[in-house]
Amino acid sequence: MDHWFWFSLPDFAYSFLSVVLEGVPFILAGVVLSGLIDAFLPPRVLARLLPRHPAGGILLGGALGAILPMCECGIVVVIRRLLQKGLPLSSAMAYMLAAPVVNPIVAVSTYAAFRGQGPLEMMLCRIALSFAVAVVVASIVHFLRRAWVLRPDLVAAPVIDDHPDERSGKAKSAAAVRAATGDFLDVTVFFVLGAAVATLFNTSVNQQVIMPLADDRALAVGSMMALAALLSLCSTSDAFVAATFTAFPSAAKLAFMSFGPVVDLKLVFIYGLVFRKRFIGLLVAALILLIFAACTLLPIPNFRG
Amino acid sequence: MKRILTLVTLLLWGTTFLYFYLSGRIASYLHPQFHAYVLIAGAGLLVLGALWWWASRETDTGCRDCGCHHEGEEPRRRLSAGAVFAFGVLLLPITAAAFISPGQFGEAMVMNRGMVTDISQLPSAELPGGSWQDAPAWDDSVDSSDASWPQDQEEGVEYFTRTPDGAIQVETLDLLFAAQEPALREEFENQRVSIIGQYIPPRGGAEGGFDLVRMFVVCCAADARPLGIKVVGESVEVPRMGWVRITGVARFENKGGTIEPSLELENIEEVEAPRESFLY
Repeated sequence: MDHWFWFSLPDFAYSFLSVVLEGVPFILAGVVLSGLIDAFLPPRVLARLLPRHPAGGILLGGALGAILPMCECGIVVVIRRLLQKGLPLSSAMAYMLAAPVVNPIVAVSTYAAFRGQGPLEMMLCRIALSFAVAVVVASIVHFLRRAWVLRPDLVAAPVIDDHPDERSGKAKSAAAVRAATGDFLDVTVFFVLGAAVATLFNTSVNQQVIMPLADDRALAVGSMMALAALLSLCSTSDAFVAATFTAFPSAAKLAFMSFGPVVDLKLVFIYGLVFRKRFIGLLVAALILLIFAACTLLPIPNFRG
Repeated sequence: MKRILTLVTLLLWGTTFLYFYLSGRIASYLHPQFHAYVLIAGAGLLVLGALWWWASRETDTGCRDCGCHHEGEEPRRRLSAGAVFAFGVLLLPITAAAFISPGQFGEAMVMNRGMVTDISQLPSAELPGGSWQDAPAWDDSVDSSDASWPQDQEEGVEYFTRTPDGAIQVETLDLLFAAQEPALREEFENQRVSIIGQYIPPRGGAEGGFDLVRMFVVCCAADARPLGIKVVGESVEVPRMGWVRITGVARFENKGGTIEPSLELENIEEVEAPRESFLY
């Protein structure tokens, strides 16, 4: 290895644009959903649908991605709306952390990517780990005050009463468009900044620097988590990249696929739309700790076949 | 002012997405399965822009009876410093990138990403005898997912595509695959093949050959992996990362237990970049 950093502006622009072209359609899908939620979902309906016990709400939030799949780029605007509509913070957190992985699209892509490397085992381990981490973090968040976690504009809980929304369909539609547009602008600013930082790493840093770490399990897990955060890949495709690190143990690849969808450079920017900075720091630390501990301490074999 | 900037942003993004799709430039950026999403997003952003213009003029009068205010619906009209920064982030990078982006990677990315010379390092590679569905040099009617292929092919049936001078047309992927698949390796070994790719000169001015590279993509250019084939021969005058067609004899060499393909150079010519520059 004769260098560790080599920046090329055309390479940067090319890779950055490909990330934007791939990611923005999913953001658009997310903001359209968030606009519709904002205008057409009365808070009282959400309150009636949710289990009364917090544990039930957390488990439901963790599994919601199976029927309402969202990628990590689009989900933050959706949970922002759901929080405004009265979804409990812990349920929203479970949904936000689990849905990018606990969904049928990612399950299929993971299975396809790991052909020859224990596809079923990797898929099940990935879903189980992501669900478990989401539930544990959401359970911790349940005991935190909303004001400590959320940005000030989201702290106030909605007033849930039986007062019907009497606006006309036209007024509601206009409100949905305004909400969707506002969300698109908000999240895309953070997405562009995050994509730029991730692309800088992705195109400029010699990726051979991490290869010597493959031999030690703890180092392998840690380096793959760091790589996942830096590459900022979409959860629907990250398995294909993880599978290429054939020198790394399965536990490290699992860490890559569980950590990347919840913590990466662009997500840390996007989380700023909903959470306070101090909470983002705590969230990232908790996710690092949980996923690292799970992937280094649990007896995860190297899957083959 | 904010209404106009919002409209401009949505129209710019929508137009950019549609331009990349309609011009065909999208083929250099994303896997084909994502192309339709770009079209839908481009059209969707233009529609959202038009709807935004209409919606921003609609006054939210609140509920008829109580006049209550629905949170988050008020169109923001003032332009703060933060908003100026945000619109700068939204408008400038994508515009600049669309102009600067060359539609292919340069040498820096290849060196940073590392060249793949062993197909087992590729996503979903399954060797040997497993399924391998992307064998572009072969006739589509040949079922390459059959583990016994190509041994059981009817004798005398030509399933390779050849150039007018008789060289077998292959891709870098084919040679890397053949390196791990004995039956296929026999088909190529010591045969004249024709292959296109990008020229990378030896690092540090070393003599005696160069690398031929083609990008393998799973989703988008950001995850591209450079597939490299060593070409042995005299030095040539070709622009770095320029597209070339090489005719040469395929060789396979065991290097420390890993069989690597190489080409003995017969002829090299510069060619236009293919419309589909990626291998999938």
